[in-house]
Amino acid sequence: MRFKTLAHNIRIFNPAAAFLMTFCPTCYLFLIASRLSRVFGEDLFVYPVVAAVFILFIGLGSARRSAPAPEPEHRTPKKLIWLQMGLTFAGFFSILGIDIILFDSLAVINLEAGVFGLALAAAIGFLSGRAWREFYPPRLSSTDGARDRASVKIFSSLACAIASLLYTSVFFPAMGFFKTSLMISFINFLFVLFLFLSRNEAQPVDRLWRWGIAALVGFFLAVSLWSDKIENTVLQRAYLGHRPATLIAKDQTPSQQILLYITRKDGWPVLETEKEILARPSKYFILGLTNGALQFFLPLESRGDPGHAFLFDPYMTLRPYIKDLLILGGGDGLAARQAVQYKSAKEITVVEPDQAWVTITRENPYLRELTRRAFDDPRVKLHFMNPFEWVLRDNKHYDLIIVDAPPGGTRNLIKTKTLSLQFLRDLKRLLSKHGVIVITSNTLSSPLKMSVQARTALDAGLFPLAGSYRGKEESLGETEQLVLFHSEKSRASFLEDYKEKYRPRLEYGWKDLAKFGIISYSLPNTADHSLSGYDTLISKFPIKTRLKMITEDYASP
Amino acid sequence: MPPHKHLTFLNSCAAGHGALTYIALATAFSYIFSDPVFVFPFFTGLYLAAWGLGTLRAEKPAGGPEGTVTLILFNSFAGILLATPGIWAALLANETLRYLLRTRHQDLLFLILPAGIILTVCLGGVFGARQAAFSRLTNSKKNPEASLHATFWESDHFGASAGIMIFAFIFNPLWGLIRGILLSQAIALGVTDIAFLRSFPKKQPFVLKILFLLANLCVLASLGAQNFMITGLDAMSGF
Repeated sequence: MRFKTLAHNIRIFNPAAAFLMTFCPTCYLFLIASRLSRVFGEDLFVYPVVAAVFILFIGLGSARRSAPAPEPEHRTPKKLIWLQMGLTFAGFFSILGIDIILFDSLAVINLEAGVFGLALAAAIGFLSGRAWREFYPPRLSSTDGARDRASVKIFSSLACAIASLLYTSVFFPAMGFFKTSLMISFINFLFVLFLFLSRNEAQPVDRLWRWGIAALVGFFLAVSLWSDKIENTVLQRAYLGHRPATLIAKDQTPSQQILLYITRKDGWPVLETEKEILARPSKYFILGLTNGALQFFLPLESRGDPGHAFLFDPYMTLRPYIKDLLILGGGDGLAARQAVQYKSAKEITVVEPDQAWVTITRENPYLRELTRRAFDDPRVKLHFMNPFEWVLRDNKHYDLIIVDAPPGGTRNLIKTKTLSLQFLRDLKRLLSKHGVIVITSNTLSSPLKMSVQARTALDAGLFPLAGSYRGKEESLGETEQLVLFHSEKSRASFLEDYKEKYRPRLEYGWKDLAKFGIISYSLPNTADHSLSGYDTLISKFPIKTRLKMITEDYASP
Repeated sequence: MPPHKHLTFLNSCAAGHGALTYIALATAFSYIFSDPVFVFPFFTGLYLAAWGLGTLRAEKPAGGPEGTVTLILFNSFAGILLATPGIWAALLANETLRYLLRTRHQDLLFLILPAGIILTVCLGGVFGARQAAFSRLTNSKKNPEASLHATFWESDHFGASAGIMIFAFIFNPLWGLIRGILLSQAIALGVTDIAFLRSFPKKQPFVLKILFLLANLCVLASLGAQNFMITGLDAMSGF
């Protein structure tokens, strides 16, 4: 029996078409919105905007000014095939396009990637609306109207539910953005084939069509086979330019995609064996990426990087009573590497939400070298739990608490919770009387937010201090941190000690780079105003005076 | 204004109200679950599925156009009655369960997900039925069918898009989640009340009159309780 006859006879066309016509665009919407929200770290704005644009353009696409021309029953309009083909390509290039634009413009607040993503959402919405316009009236307002309408509604509703379940529990956790977009566009392409094969006898097919379809099948297969290579090339190009690099580890979990590269400092390809590399680590850089965002880029032989040194050194040096440390985040082992260097530290508790980074750090020989096997140190106690839950459950007292949230993704909500009075009160509950809390720049969504966070900390009964390491040339650049003390007295005493005992010990050059300052100006409102998206919007403009943080500089010469 | 333009405007408002409530719901749950990459797709899919299934309820309403109007009003009041108390209750339950976890080490946070799913499905179903009833009412007018059908979907999508934008760029940033939800429901209630009072309330079924009363009382009580709610949540979480 021929396919089209089967399709029509057992009445699968309408439900199956309705299912796929809903399933694929819904997945594209989720993909674009998720990717852009990871790019901007502002989910509460990105999702609504992408959804609104998508819905608006579905409406524009489905608008019809004149009555549809009557068409014979069960005839697949050629236009529908073209529209679905367009959707397939738009979906295929969604993540790839955003990533290529994003990594080509890392320094320019990723605006182009956002505009491209919104344009794609609009295009997919429009094409989808048009496709429904082509599909709906001739099929459903003619024969068997009520029954077919109901089946179309049920199957398109099911498609939404299945799309969300598959996307959140299977596609995205198992394959990440890029491969999910490939998978969905491939399903969309199968739908194009389905439409093509179930067309009416009255629509002749010439050789060009057949060759075109065959070429597209080949294209999709080839891209699927080379998807890893394409993804790697885009990321390498972004962070390393044309410098050749070798992928040494990769992992994908529901919340993180981890990529680890090694590259030679002199720009030549890495051809050496593992033994040879580990024997001469000074010749190599190691690059770690989480969800496409930079985790670290360090010389393989380094024993400490300025960012992490600045997190611990002033406090561990000036406060020798610090024995119990709590690190919230820091699964890459770099914070632990820094912490274990201090003999005064008796117990270092690392709470990491995801096992992926810890597993790679423990098993990968290069990362073991980079982190000096910090996780194998008996003083380090690892726990896998959401840090916010840990803070709720724990009752122990710590002398130093480092809040080191991972970069990229869900950052606004981490910020929301970090900013909340309750989180800070919970941290205070866990802090020993003379202890210190350090919130890293990864957790602070932007330095501009520091004054708001400082104000919230004051409300929580903690005394804030702004710390900054401006970075030397060719280093990682700026590092901001918010330091919180139990009392004003302990803050004042720390600043005195820092000026008198610590600064004179700093190496030449660092004196002007590592600074602390009391925040003397903050926004008049507390935590809940940090939710305002206008702050983010304003921060994109050149006028930043309203949010400017003025610190009384305690450390400059 | 010709009757179908009234309908188009009301349809647009209803679509905006539905979409705004959905985005408020998703925002609240993305706060509760701390993972918007999971929350937004998951709750969007559920809401759309329930919306689609809800449209089936309006396939054959009893009582002709009057029955359809009753169905629209019924779902509007039901949606308003579900939205503010539902979302507030979810936020309150979240903070209470966290408090329990902190003080008594009782982990009952898992209860919020099924509650969220039920709330989302109920709201999606209610708003889907309302939009389908609007569509039915629009198509029953003596006008060229294709033209009216197009106007209906245009206004529906435009309204939904505007509703989402209004919540994301005005209500939530300016008044916060709790007041933003309440304000949107209060506006929706105002429009629904006018529609109810103009649709010969004496002829409407008893259940609808009760819903009208409850929705008004609920919004009035919420307006009075908003500051207590915010203070209470602040006390528990600093939200």
